[in-house]
Amino acid sequence: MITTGCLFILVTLALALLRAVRGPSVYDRIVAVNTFGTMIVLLLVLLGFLTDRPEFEDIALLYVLINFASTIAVLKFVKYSSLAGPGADRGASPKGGTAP
Amino acid sequence: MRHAISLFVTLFVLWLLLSGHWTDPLLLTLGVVSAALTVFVAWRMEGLDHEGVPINVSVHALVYWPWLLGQIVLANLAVARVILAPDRMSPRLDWIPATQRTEVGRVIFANSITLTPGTISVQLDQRRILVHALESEGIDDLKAGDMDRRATWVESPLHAEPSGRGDGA
Amino acid sequence: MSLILDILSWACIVVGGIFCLLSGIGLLRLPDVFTRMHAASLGDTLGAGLVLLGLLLQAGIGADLVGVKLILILVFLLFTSPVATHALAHAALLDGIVPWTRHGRPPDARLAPEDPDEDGFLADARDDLEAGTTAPRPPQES
Repeated sequence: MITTGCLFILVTLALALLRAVRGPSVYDRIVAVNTFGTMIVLLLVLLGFLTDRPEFEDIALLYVLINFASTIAVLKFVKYSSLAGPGADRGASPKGGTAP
Repeated sequence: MRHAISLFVTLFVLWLLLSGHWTDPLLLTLGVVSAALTVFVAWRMEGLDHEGVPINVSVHALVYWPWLLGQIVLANLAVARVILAPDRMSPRLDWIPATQRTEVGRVIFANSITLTPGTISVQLDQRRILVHALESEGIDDLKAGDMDRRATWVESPLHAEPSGRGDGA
Repeated sequence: MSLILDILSWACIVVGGIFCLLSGIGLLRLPDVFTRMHAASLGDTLGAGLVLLGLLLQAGIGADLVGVKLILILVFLLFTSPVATHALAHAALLDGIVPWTRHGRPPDARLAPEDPDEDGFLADARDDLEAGTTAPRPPQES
């Protein structure tokens, strides 16, 4: 019965991957990758039950948080072309500004 | 100080639940140290305020969340119907009023909107929220203001009238 | 009793899987970014919720606190996914992507013209960077 759930999720992974490849704008791809991450989390939990290895759930727990952080980081990179935030790529280094 | 203590307690309970070590004194000490270190880092980042540690959200949330769960299930069914028959779709973008007084209250309202499939909050203002809906009925429901009243009730102090309840039925 | 629990948990997992599948189909079928986000949130809420609930029915709390971890996964998912979706929708609209509407009519409303960053946190950071005074509070040594 867990195998049935795995099967559904594997098909969803394929569909999300197809959207990530085809997506016309970069935001389509980010939506697809975000969904892909959620489905991977569910697959990890199901696989942990299927193979009787409860450690998989710790990995899934971590993956939820990494998935969120990576979505925000990629969005920030797309928006500001830099992970440091607005203005950071204009040459003014945050630390160097106050130096005498 | 209240924020620091409640954050510390939350983090330590989380540590206990995730590690499963209840007895070993060395490991418990290390857990206390790691929780305290996290509180210290949060204090350095100036995250220890009512926004970073929202302890003012009242126990009304315990009534609000089950109601929200029911709304999520209903909205899921509606969106599933649209996916199976995309002809019914009527996407719409519009402003809806938000009557919450605190920022945490508005965040609760906006997150509830986004968590219900079929509506996404796109931008927040002092008094209103820009919402994208998959079906235009979604915007009409939000404009009727049932969820708005309930979210305002969550941020309100305990003695306030539960204005969100009753008129939704 | 155990049989009822098994059937219930099996039903939860399969229905949750079907909702995940629907969200995948919606990702491919719907016409633009915003409508696809609605489809994606289908799998994030009820899909994930039902699958985890089904597993929780089977595991109970368990010796290794398996059930607690399942609940925490669901809680983190429910707290993070709307934030990510909101950030994504806001960024897409700011970037000038026009939401798809029936008959190609323009949408009823637009982003507010003023700075979307209303409490001015990002704007403050930008001003500080340009003025060369970065730290909002002075270093503790001084």
